[in-house]
Amino acid sequence: MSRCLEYLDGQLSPAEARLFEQELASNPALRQEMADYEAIRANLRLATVQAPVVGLGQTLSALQAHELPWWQGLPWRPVLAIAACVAGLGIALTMRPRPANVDGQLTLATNATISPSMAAAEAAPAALPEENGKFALATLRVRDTNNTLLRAETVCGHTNGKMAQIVASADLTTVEIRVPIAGFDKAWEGILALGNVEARTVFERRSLVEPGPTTATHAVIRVQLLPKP
Amino acid sequence: MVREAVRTHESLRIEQLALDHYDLVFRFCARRLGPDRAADAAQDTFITAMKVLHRFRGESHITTWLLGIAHNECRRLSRKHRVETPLLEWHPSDDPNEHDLVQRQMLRQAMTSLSPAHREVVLLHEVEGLTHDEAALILGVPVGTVKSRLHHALIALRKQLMPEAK
Repeated sequence: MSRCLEYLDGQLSPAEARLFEQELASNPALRQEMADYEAIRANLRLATVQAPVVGLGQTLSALQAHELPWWQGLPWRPVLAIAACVAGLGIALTMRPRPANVDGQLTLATNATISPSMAAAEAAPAALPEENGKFALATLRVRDTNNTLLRAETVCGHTNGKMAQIVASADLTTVEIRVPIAGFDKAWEGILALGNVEARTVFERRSLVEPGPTTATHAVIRVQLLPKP
Repeated sequence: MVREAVRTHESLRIEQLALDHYDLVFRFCARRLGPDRAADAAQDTFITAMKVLHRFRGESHITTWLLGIAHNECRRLSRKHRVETPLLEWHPSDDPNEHDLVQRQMLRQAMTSLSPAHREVVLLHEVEGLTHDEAALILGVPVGTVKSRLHHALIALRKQLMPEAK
């Protein structure tokens, strides 16, 4: 690398530049080299184009006539933000629990396979006898008219032979579940998790937990499939 | 309506760019292709700029960005028309002495003997007056490469112009 060029480009540090200048003062060959480069660069920097500048009008016309694709020039950040919002909304709507606006039905099923009578009850919900310890769990299900399972939730657990008594209504959109007080919370949570059903207790839930004259040992929860809006 | 508004905005923007920078781009192209083809190259430069204007992020100066496009258009047209010789000329009003006249003539010839890569950095840095960084952006090479090419090119020019020099 030529130190002259580095010096001319201002790439030497102040200390290096001072040293170079001292050397320049005492070295005629270096001064000649420097003068050569300065002359070359001076001539290059004076170079010009003498031809008149033409074509601006045609260029402007060409720009006006040129058709951009419609999407070019859109402010992409806002567009992407809006697209992300729309996509997010779509995903949220898709993942939201489906409303029970189909003509569906509620069914109660058990996971047990021990009792044939219980299996029959799953296929056609009906009044189920109070359990005697053979069931593990009972599940409340929502199906549409095509018998497609929309939602399912375990609502009752089996504890020491005190399984909830499950009563299905005739219209298949309402079921009643009779649960012991001890199993109430679990059943209630399961029903709420099902979504888009309305649940009521025959005994006010409040009365179940507050001291008072009510000494109920069981609560009956009526679960109703919400009608089409 | 929004689309039309956006397009109008973009059109106005590129037209203003052309009004502001056409001379610069034309001369840039004329040095590389000659004045006869410079208008075509400049027009292509602005049409390309219009197509990619939405990608301009302002990370470089707008003139550097435009000259980068012009550089590519010149290379494309240069390959197409096999143009090799850069146009170096000086204004008559410079009133150079005889020595300068001779040297300029020699300089013009010496420039043609450089490799295209070396010639381009000389044109960008010494003739167009761009910084090393700007030249690097236009050429798409590291700044160190630009400096290295420039030094080698100037040394080569000096050897041709001043054969007595070591």
